[in-house]
Amino acid sequence: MAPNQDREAVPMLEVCDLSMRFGGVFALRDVSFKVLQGETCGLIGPNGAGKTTLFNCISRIYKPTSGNICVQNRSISKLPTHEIASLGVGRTFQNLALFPKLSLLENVMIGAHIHLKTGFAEAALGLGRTKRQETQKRDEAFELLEIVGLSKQAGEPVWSQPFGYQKRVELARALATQPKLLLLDEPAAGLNPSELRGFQELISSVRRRFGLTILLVEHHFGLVMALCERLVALNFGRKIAEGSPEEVRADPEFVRAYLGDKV
Amino acid sequence: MDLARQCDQGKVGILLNRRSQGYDAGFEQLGNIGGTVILLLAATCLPFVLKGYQLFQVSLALSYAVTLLGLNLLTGWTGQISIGHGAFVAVGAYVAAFAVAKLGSPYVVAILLAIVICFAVGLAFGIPALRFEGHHLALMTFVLAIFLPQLLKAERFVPLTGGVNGITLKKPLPPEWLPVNSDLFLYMISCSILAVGFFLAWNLGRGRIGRALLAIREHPTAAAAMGVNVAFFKIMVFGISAAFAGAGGALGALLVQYVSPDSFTLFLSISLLVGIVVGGLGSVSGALFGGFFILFVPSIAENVSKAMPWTVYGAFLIALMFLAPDGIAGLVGRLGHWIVEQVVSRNSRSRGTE
Repeated sequence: MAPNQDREAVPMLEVCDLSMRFGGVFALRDVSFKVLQGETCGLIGPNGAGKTTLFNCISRIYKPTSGNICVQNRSISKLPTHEIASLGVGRTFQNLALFPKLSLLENVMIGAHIHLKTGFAEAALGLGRTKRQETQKRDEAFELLEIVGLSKQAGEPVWSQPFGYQKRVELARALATQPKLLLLDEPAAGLNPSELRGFQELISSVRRRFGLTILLVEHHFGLVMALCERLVALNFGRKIAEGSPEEVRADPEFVRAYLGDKV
Repeated sequence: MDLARQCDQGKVGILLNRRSQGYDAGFEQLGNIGGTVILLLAATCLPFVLKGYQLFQVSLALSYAVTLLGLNLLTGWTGQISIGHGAFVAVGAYVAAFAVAKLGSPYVVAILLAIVICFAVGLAFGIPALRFEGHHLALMTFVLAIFLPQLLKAERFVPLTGGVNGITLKKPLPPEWLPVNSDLFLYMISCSILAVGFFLAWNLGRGRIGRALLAIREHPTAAAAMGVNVAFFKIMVFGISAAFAGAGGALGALLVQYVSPDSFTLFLSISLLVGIVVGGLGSVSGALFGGFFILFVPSIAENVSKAMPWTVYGAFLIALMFLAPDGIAGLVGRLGHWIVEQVVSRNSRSRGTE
């Protein structure tokens, strides 16, 4: 069972006693959990439970008040935001954080920023590897747009596209960073039922194709149940349950958090 | 990957000014090549048409354009507003003038020195500027524009700056092997510097660097999450835009052969900002249009009405904002696009009737 041991040995993501305080309010309090390599883990909880705050701590947009976060045993608590992508952590945003005036292709290519090496001087003089790398990454970005089904619109500005398309552009851009761990923040929010099914299939297919570990925040229970092998439930900043979807669903504290006391 | 190549040639090449959609792939590349050819022809023909003073004025407009190239990278690309860029122009002009007049260095060395020093000053200014965004950054650059002229007049620095009298230079003479007069020589220098500037700014504005700058403008947090070192890029672009301003200032000093504190007032800084907006934010060619606007529109306004030139100027500015919301570069681009479209459709129609 060697591969299994490896999975146990080095978790993709390890969150230890993480707390995040805004003024007097704890958005997260002593949260600990692990995400194993290759796993799809769901992060669930009512609104305001701290899910997005946790995401922002992992991608170092927030600096946690205390506790530690490790990606493949490497602590990221002291790293600046822009170094997180190079560790293999890609993400999407709850309310979209695209570059509206740029084209779909350019948006995805910015995802490849860390894999291009052109410096200022090289770029200014248009030297050597600049053009070759650029062409290669553009082809790759185009392929990613094909995967999410948007290659026809590659040259259009992002703002002109419908919400559902923009969500997919964000996924393609996250994939362009070549992540090992992909953080998806409510990928299904605002999608209609048919888009939802498409998105679910898209996520499982890119997961297989790129061998991704996924941490997923989602309110849509159907999607969570269909995609996730394990769930972590938060409420008011604390972890209240963890385990397989069936276990979490049966957990009394989780039921109380979601449905109220009288069940 | 055929489609990707098409995008390469067409849509992706020009990042902004893509207001009309459904551009055909070849159009913009054709436009770029056509534009370059027209520019080169115009630059070659102008000296035969214009007299000495007019040629000098064109050279001066070109020197503004050099500055605008840099300001555009800062404001158009990265979204950092500077209303104090005249200060960097002043530093460039003074460094060049000092090097020529007091150190006796060759003109080329003086210009390079101005570029290097302005780059350093820009970087140094970029670091504290990181703490500010939007309006606050604008205010901070504003401070730069108002305090520098006073600093240049200060008693203490008179040995360096010449105080209120400034520094006077000798008119640069063409080398003996070049059979041109000195106005034409200066015009040729201006054209060469602007051409190099165009080349560098054009390259920087595209590819990995240009995209990162645009990403910072559009959504800094997302840019950082994608691995863009936002602080580093902001500081660098401040340095680079200051270096362009330094080159523009040095060129201006050689053209006028005189620098004084009163040439670099706050009004110059505001004019530069007007120049890139009118020329076209985020468009390299906008710098050229902006340079000509800064130099010629005030005097045209004065020709229209001696009593109220700035009213005329203002009216002109407002009219332009309505007619060309994406700058003169955008207007010219759309015009060029329209002409090509007409030609193409006429050709295809005539082929259809055969």
